[in-house]
Amino acid sequence: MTSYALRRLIIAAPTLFMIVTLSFFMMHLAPGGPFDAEASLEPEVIANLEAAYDLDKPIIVQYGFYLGKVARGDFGPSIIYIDRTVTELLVIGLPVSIKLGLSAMILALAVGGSLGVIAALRRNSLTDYAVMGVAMTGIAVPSFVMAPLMSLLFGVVLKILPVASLEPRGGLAEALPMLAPITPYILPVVALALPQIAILARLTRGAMIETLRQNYIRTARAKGLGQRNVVWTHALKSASLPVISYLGPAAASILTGSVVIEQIFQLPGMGRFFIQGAINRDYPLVLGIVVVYALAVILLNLIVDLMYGLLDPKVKVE
Amino acid sequence: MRLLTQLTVTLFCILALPASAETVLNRSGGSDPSSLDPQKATGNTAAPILNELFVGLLTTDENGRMTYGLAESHTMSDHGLVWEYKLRDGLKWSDGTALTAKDVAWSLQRLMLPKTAARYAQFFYSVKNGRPVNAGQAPPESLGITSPDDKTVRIELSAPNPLLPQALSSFSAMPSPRHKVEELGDDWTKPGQFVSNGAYVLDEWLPGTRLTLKKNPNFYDAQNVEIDTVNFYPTQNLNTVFNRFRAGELDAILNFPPEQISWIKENIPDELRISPTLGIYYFLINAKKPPFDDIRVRKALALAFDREALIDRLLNTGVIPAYSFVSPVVEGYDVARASIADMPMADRIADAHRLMSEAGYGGNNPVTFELAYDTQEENRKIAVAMKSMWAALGFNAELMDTEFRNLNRKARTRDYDIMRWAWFSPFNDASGYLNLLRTGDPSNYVDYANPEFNALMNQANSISDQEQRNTLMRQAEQILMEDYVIIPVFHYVSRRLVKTYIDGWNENARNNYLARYMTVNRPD
Repeated sequence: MTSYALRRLIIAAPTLFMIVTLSFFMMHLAPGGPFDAEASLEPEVIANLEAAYDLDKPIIVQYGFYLGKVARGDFGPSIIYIDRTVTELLVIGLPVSIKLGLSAMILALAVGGSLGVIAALRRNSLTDYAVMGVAMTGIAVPSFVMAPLMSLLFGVVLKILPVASLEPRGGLAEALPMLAPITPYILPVVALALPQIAILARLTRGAMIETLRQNYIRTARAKGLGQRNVVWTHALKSASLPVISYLGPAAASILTGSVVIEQIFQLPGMGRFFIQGAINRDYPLVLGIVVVYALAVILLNLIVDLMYGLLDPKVKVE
Repeated sequence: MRLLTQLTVTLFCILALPASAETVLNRSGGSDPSSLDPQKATGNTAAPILNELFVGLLTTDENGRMTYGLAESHTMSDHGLVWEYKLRDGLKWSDGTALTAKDVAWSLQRLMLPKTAARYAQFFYSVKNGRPVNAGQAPPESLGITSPDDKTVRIELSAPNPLLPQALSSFSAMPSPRHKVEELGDDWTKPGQFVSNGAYVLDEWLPGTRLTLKKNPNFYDAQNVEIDTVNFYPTQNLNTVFNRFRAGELDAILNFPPEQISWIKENIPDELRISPTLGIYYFLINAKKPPFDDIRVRKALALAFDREALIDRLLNTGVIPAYSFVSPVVEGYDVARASIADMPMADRIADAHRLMSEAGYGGNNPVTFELAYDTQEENRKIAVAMKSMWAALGFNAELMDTEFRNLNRKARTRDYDIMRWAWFSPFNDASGYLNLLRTGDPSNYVDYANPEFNALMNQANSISDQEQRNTLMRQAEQILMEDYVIIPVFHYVSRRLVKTYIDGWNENARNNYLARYMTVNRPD
């Protein structure tokens, strides 16, 4: 399994190279440049700026420079945040995004999975319909609608959580200072997890119903095992397979979702830097974030495949 | 024992005394500042922060008017070609190091060096050898900025520049601490190492979250600064900014979602501040392209466009209908409005029909063109309204919704028919607008080339008598407005929300709201 993981990581290198190359040229093909504004700058000023960022060189030379720097782990200076390098910005943004994304993923799995199991066990009951109704709403309402509503309700009207930003504020932080550091993350994590909770609940329900019909479950029941034992020991493992295979796409949508959520809740994660960079044609910043995103997706897919191997005896990971 | 008890009680009493309450101002600040280095920084979001941190030879007073900063007097000689600024006594950097004229001159020289790559170096091209030094074609020592002694900054110009004082009050002309820049390189702007000379000094900067400034005890006017701490919260999402203001997290915000204006007027009218700014929203007409090379067609466009109806019914955001290019808030300048401004709408429509049929266009021979704007709800609304107003005349506008950078490319490469544009003048002076339309100016996107206009502007740019300049510039604007190469739509206003417990936040055209002039009486 270790050698499999290593092999996968080695194959990832050319993928990453392709992503960097494509992004580099697509970024430079986009109309306009980083120094555009309503009034044009004098040619001398533009020449100085382009020289400062190596943009005066032919594009292929810039590409060579860039590859060389990235290979050494240097993503270059940011153009919009003049005092900072891209690496410095990643060091600020990455922990925030990881905390946000990972928490949302765990929350989605825990809540979505449990709801799905409950709905499957009480199939066609009121509980089932209620859970599935909520899940449908969760899938249908996009997070850019849900997030501002949540912020308005819990931040402005009820004043128990911060409206936005990483600073702890609101009733909860005052009543329980112990929880203060996590209060800024509560609303963003829930907003980010909601659509995934809904999808995971539906997936788990379907898989669970399917599994509960299997012969081996009937055998288990025939042996006289109780409901809890049947569900937890026998059914859940098999029912979790489709859920696990969805984790890859779920991680990807949480990654893209965080771009929106970070903007709405003003969290200094990578998503916000990504949008700023793209709008302002900050080539080094956007490329740096693309590399990190690509790495994250590659790693997450690898983890999902490894988990699959652990859970499903039919799949041999080697 | 009794003594010990007494001492303990006293100690407790002292500890229990409320610490002198610190005054804090929490304001929104667009995105993070591009830089805290005065020479390198760019853009609107750096300006309010740099204005708190640094002070140049000149600065602005509590009403946004220009006033002396580090300088206490100045002289101008040799027909406006030599300016000398005398510094105040006892100036210091925030770390206690003495600040002399040498620091100021060094910073201005630094602004002009090619390797600084400063965008605003171009505001100082009138300085002797300014352009060649910035282009790397002349040695830095040949620059006309020197410090003959520790208290004098001397600026020699190659041509008179009446806007020099305004350029000197902008953040790019503020001094950088030479001793720190030389010691730390680019890292001097990091918290802990940062040194400034203004009312405040950088305390903490958490990018994307908060930037905190603390009062600088070494500021020359520190005894009159009441607010101890200023927090800037970077917030780009207008709904989020507005919610944070409502929740009391922010005391002052620089913008809010326009659709909230009715709610605000009804519920928190005392906190709403609307005031005109130096910005203009307008359309560029590509007058080189047929049929827009025909002035009759261009004038018909301007005539048939009902700005008042658009602004009253569609925008409802307090903006001012525009018939001039220069903003009416420019100090001491009386704008030249297009002659169509005073015509009743019915006459304007009739006139437009007549002009179109004279030019050979109309219902049977429509003019089809692209109307481009950058993706924003307000722009789309305006473009749709214009399209329908123009349709009756035989114009068929095809809407082109694009991203700002692409719109920018279209302007620069003249790849457009008619497009939306906006301009915020960096100077409180008519030339801040009109210079953009001189032949050869890199921002003359309509390729306007009227020799009479150019001559008037060149004359106005070379004299220092402000009244005479304004007369010349008004004549130039009159000519421009009758050539119809641009269609002004409205003059921007700033829309702010400021809590009523803040005193000294005085609206002004330059958008300068310095915390050093404010007081906060927060109710508890």
